[in-house]
Amino acid sequence: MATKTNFQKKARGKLLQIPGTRPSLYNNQLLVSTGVPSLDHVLGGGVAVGTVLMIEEDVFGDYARLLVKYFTAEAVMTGQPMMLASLDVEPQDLIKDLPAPIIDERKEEKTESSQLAQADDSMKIAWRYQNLPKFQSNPTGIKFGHYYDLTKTMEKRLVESIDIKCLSTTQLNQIKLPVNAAEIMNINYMKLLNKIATVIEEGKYLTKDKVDKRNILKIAVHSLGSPMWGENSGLKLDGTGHDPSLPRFLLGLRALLRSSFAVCLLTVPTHLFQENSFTRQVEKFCDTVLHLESFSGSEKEKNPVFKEYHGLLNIRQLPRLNTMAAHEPDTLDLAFKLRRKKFTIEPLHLPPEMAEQSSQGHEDPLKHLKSSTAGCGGGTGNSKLDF
Amino acid sequence: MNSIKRSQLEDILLQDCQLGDNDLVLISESDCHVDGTFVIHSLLSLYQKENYNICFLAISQSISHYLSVSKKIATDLKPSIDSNKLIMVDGLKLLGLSVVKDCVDMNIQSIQDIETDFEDVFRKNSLQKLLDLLNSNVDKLYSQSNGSPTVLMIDNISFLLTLGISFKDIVIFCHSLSQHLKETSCGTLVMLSSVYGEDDKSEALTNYFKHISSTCLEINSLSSGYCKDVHGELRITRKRKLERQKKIEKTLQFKISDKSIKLWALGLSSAVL
Repeated sequence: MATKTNFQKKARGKLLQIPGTRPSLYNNQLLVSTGVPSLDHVLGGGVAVGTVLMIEEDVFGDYARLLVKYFTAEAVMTGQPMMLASLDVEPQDLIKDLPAPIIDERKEEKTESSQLAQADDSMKIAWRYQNLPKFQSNPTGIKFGHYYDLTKTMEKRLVESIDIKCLSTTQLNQIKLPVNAAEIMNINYMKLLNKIATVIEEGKYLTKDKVDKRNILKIAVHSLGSPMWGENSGLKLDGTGHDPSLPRFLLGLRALLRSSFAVCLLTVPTHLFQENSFTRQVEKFCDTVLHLESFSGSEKEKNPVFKEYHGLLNIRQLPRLNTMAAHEPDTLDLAFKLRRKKFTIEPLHLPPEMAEQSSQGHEDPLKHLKSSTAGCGGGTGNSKLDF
Repeated sequence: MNSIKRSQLEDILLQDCQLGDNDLVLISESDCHVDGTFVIHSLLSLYQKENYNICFLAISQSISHYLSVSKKIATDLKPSIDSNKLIMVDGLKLLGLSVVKDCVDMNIQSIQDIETDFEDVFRKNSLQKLLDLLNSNVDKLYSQSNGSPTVLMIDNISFLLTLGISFKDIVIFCHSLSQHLKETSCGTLVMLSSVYGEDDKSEALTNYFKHISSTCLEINSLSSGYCKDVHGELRITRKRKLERQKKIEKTLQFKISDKSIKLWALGLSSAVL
């Protein structure tokens, strides 16, 4: 994997710059952005090329879907090819609703007043570049980690500027496996792996392929492991132990990605899996694993501690790539917040303790973990009827 | 006199594990919050310094990862590979691409030039081919060396359990490897095994290996949770078979950094003192 980056200390040889990537500050990995800059920061700069990022979905799946949209939007903005697979939601529906990028408006007012008008605002040939900031913040003009506005949708023209391969139920059913293929795992996973391998092969994303312009293939699979994929909550159909299909798929996927210029984002509804140990085993087969725990519908929603946030982000695993130590984030108490315009990940801050509130007593958010005291009625209730 | 510099963990391992006298060294991760691969890296470089023949089966990471880490902890593995003292078997690639092979047509380039002969692992849940490959590697190493001992290292045996191989088959696989090593070269089998949850098959597998191992290096997470300065505890247990004495146990805490591992006695971390 060290061969994947072209970041060299001595300026010997051509320094290949692939749009939308940057070398890691901690080790010499090539990173891509997830589309959410605050998430990139938590992960140590971004997701390494050739690895798998697994997001364990929140119970209703909204935030995981949002992350897939951000990832796709980032692929559009960096001009990288994309493959989007989803059986629960039509991939086309996801693509129609990508957040629009936030363009820097500052320079636009200045050009109107200047006599020497530059080319008129609507560029005809290089129209894709119209949406990028007019000034160059860095000399190469390649930006990493764009900001998006959720209230606006990305223009169809911009979305269509990159090659997005969609994989929906109908397209998955059209994939033909080799005639005498043994059924070593769930058929849908085999077809998905087939599609990924053919896309990597045809697009020449293997590290040993020699191409003029190097691109990073971004693969996003939404809700892998949901019942639509034929997953039986991680158990075999006859109920005897774990179904090795998902681990086998992940092994094949990682083996492919390790020798390709590609990144994969998977969202997996692990709350549907019957056994926690199966979830842990699946986590070990991925590189980076995050878990979204949304507050909607749970008792934590009403907790004043979590008033400003919509859920917690648990880092389950960070990869050790070519080093012994994984990246250590500053804090593990992370929460996410969905505001009107953007989605951010922030360290969890407790709200300031006010005098009246402290007398009532904050509800301990982890109360359910402590053993309950015996006794009927009351307990630590703060009801006015207590006496 | 060995003038090669050893790291702190390597010294401890050399002193406490008595490398030449082991049938099975087990490195066990007692839960999913710890990572035991740093012990594998240290053992790998230690065996190389002690001039052993090494056959390394890597399933959890690609080979280039181990080579890069070795360079960082200041032992280059490349010369050993070139001089046939070290054979690295890229399990991730071989097994992973066997899976891909069963899903695609044969003319896909990524799988074409790899002799992936391991479809049986997934089709019939059989480890026979893998066993044959490892045994032949051990024989090759032993015949080319002039009597230096051999060691076979596996990272991570519990992955085979997750991939659907039965508990019994894995135990038989390990026994066969261990037997072959003992017969041909008085060698050692070193394995990394994980526990994924209570009452899980992985726990039963790890417990069994702990039982038959001569040295067990157990990595536990701190009971108080995550800590930036202390990453976990390492417990070294060495059973002395012939003299019916108590087993030797030693517990240390460790912190993994990019290029080295710091170890100290319990509670004496530099962050606390």
